Order: sequence, then structure tokens, then C-alpha cells
Amino acid sequence: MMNEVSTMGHPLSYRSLGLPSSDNTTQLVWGHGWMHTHSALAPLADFFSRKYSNILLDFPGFGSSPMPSSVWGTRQYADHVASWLQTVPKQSRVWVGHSFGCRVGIQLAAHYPELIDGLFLIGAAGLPIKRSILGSAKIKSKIFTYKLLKRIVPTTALREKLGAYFGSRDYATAGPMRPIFSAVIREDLSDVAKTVECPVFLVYGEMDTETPVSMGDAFSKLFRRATLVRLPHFGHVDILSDGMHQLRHHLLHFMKECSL
Amino acid sequence: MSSKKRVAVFFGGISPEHDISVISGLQALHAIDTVKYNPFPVYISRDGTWFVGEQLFDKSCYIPDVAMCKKLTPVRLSLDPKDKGVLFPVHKSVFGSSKHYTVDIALPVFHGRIGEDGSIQGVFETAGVPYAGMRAMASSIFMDKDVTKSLLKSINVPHLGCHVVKKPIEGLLLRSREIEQIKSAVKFPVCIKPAHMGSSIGVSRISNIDELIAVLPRIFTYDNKVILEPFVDNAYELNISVRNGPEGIVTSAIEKPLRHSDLLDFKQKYLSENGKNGVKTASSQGMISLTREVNPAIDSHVEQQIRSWACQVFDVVDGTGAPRIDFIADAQSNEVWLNEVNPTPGSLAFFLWEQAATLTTFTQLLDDLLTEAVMLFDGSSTHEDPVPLEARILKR
Repeated sequence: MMNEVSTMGHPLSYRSLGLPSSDNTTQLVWGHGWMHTHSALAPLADFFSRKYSNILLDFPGFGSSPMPSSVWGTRQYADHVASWLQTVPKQSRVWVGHSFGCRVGIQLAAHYPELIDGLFLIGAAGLPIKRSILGSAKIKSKIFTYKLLKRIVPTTALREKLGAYFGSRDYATAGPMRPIFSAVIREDLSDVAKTVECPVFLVYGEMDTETPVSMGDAFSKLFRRATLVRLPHFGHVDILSDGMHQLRHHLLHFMKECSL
Repeated sequence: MSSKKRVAVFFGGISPEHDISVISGLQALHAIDTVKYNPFPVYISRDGTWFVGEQLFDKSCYIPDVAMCKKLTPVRLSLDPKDKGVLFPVHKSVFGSSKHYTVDIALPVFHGRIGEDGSIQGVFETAGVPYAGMRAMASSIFMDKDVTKSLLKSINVPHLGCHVVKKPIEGLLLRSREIEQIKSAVKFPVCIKPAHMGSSIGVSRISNIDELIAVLPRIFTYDNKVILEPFVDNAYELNISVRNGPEGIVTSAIEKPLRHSDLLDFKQKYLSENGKNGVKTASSQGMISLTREVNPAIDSHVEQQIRSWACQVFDVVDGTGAPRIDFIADAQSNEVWLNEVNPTPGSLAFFLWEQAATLTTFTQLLDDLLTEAVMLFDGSSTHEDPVPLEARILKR
């Protein structure tokens, strides 16, 4: 069952799982990926429900949480959730993020270090993808062609179709969230990551093309206390389902290593 | 060269439970800790061909069609213990030496005959390959419900008696003499079970001799022996898994499968999706899709009996692996009987360990089973000359 709070003048929906939040419990806060909802992480979280307090968020604009009234970046998403987490009791807290949810977690840990004791990041996004010269040229030519055609095409509907054709799947399906998507996708969290002090566990699927392992390599050099694990045979999304057991295993060990 | 141990996950096989084995096998394959191990699939097709190939990691590959099989590599396991577990391609390369696949540890995830019954375990022992799970002898015993009951009788673990009906040598139909024998020995209704099959395949309630005569020929096409047990009204099932822990035998959570009819059959066990009508889909998650209650509220005495008997039966065969042990209980009398032992349970019963007293991931369970496999192998006595001095007759 979903709960709703209003914080910073904007509603935030979430689902509680497992032990109730208290000063004696370790809490796991689950931040989902772009175009997902809390339910994408629920099977993973379910395992931890006997021993931990779990909060599964629906970020504004996803699931039960209404869209932000302006164009938010991940810093605004972090500010929003922080203003509520400051009121939630806990002994210690680990942020578990997937993709976009990792961006928010990194911002949160960097700007509100008192709220987060560990980051467990799955397919973390937030850095520019390193491409080969050929790959880079392909992307540039794609953008150039799109911008050129957009000027020629007269109607909004046709421009939408062009966007869907040339843009990424997330861009094409973003709908009214597209301005936020465009803002988020341009963010480079390199400098933010450098200021994160808590331990960070990074997991990437070796078949992930959206947030490739190279991004994990780069992140692991930016965070002060990072561990990187590569899981073969998994992509960006199926890592949550087929890779679920290994993720649970690593998260449990991460919690133990952090004495949480 | 990677220092990770190469784990061959074997699944599929010539068994009525081929499909559910594929599901369990893929679950295990993806759950093995890839930081520590290098797992790879070995799929045994329904005609008995062993295949390896990257494509076998993908769920959508199953069941491989002719075109897919051409992309895969058929292999054979070397039975020479000096090879210590090597899979050689069946077809040699035109240029001579072909790539071979080293097996450091085998993880058999077969359900039913030719895989769960000790036969593949025997192959691994012959080939000198460490393997996870129950040993060959225990697997053979527990995959025969009739023999299992004899063992239970010898250690005084309560179980339902049974009448054994064997497939006639001449064909599928019972002779009149056998029918008369059943009529005099058996009190209907009974629960009929193929003796060597799991997953509740072929299990049904039989009300009279005519029903039995009608149903037997079909079951005999899959199994050559059936058992007839007294049908317990008000029965419910309680399942538990057992394995070796650091300080002795440990038990898992208890599950109470929920069902909608008299008996939990194969469809309910594997194809139900949260109570909806079961439809066979590639996304079936095996035993984990079964509607169940884990850690149900049961009489503490019943719980204590189940845990104690499960340990007892595991111990008597020098148990290894993590079998699931199923019990039947009478809701009115609280009487409990050990029903059967599954040497390789569906989904390896990981969901029971996840809910055990100690939080245990499927990945941890597999790590423990693989570690046990290596320890058992390393601990088995190996002599340069297997013939002891006092038995040597021929000149060395």
C-alpha cells in the first residue's frame, strides 16, 4: 500500500516494507530508475523486509507521485526527498538506487551527508558516456540531422515523431517529463561524486549499454570509498530481475562491511 | 588466466521434468556469485545431447530449435579421472585441436529421473569431478518413493504405508491376477504417485479400482512403478529444506503450499501465478511462483517433529546438498507423516533459505553448496594404487 507525504510543497508517494522506521532500525531507501516506479525494486527489497526498514519511493513524475511543477534536476529531487527523510527516524540509512535513482542518491549523499550512511548503486548514471571516435561521430551526426529536420518539419506532431525516431527510448517515452529528462541527462556528477564521503558500492551489468561498465570505472575513481563489481550477462534492466540474487548478496555484504 | 573456479550448471535432461529443470537451472546459473566463480550452462536436451554455448544464458533460447542447436556446441564429458572434468566437443575441428571446457565443479540441477536419481552423480564420481548436492546413493534412494519408505521404516520416522504396483513386462495393462490382488489389499480412496517422479507429476486421488485401471497405462508410459497411499482427508503439506551448517545440520523455513483442490498437482506447483489459473509461459518462475505460506502458524510440537525428522532422514544417508523434505499433516489430528525427499528440489528451494532464521541469499546458498562439493571431493581418499597392499595379487 502506498503512503503519501507532502514536503517542500510537493507530494511524495512511497511504500513501506518490513520493520517500522525507528531510532533502532537500519533503513534502506530505494530509488528507482527513469520511467520505472518503486515496484521495479520491490522484489529486491522484499528480501530485506524481515530485518530492515525499507522505504520504496515513487519519485515525482513517476508512479503515484505527481510531476514537479517546474523543471527539476537531480539536485531538486534530492532536496525534495531530503526534506522528508530529515523527519524520518533511523539508526543508519543506506540508499539503494538504480540508474536515475543513483543520480538522486549521489546528490543526497553529497549535500546531506548526515542523512546517508552508504550508497549501493546499480547501473549508476551521471557521467558522460565515453565513446570511441566513430561512436562519437555517429551521435554528433544523428543530433545534427535531427536538428536540421526539426527546422524543416512544419507540424508539432511530425516533430514528435522525429524526436521518437532520433531520440533514445527514454526520450521518446518521456512525454511531459521530457524537459526534466533533457535536464537530467545533461548533468555531469563528477564534481558531486568527489564530495561523497560515505562508502559506495557500485554494481554494473557487463551487457549494459545505457550505463556501461566504463562509467562504473570512472565513478569508482571519483568516490573516496568505492567498490566496483561487474556482473557478466546482465544489461541495464534485467540486472534487477535475473541478477536479483547477486544484487541481494552484495547488498547484504555491503551492509555487514559497513556494520549497518 | 582467471583464478575463478569454473562451475558447470547442468540442467534439462531426459526427464518428464525437463522444462522445470531448465527454469531451476537458469535461476541457479544467474544467482552464482560471479565475483568468486565463473559459471556456465551445460544444457542436456530431451534426446540426451549435451550442449554448451553463450546463447544458453538467455531464457529466450529455450527450448533450442534446430537452428539454435547449430549455434551451440555438442560436448561429451571425459570419464578419465586424469582429465579432472573436461568437456570435449563431439565434433572435432577441421584444424585438429578443438576448444575444450574445464569443469572445476558441477552443479546438477535436474529434476526427476536421469539427473536427480543418482545417475549423473555417478558419472561425476567416475569422471573425478567435484559436484554439489546429494551423493549418488542418497539420490537413488530418495528418488524411489517405495525404497524411501523402507528407509523411513528402519529409522522409525512416521510415514504412510503404501501398496506398490509395477508396470507389467508385457505392456501397460494390469493382469487380472494383479487387479484382484489390489482389490483385496487396498482400501480406496488412495493417492496414486509414480515412484520415481517429482514435481507431483501423475499424482491424483483415485476413488475405486476402475479409476485406477483407467489411469495406470498413462502413468506407466513415464514410470515403471507406482505407489498407492491411503488418501488423507483434511491433509495439508509442510515442506522444509535441510543442509549442513558450520556447526551441524540446519533447517530452513517451513512452507505450507496453498492449493485449490484435493491434491497439489504439477500445474498448481509450477504454473500457478498468485492463484490465477495456470498458463504455461516461458516466464514461469518454477517453485517460487507457487502460492504458498512461508513460516505458517503451526502447532509448535508439529514444527519440532518436522525439523527433527528432517534432520534424522538427512543424517542417516550422510546428507549433503540441500534437499527439500515434504511432510503431510492431518489438520484435525495433527498427525504428521514424512511424505518424500527431493534431492534436487524446484528452484533449489532457495526461497525457504531466504526466510530461514538466518538471512540467507540464494547466492550464499549456492556458494555453500559449491564449497561443500569441493570439500567432499578433496576429502575423498585417493591413492595412486587403489588396491590396498593386502589385496594385491598381480605384480606392480
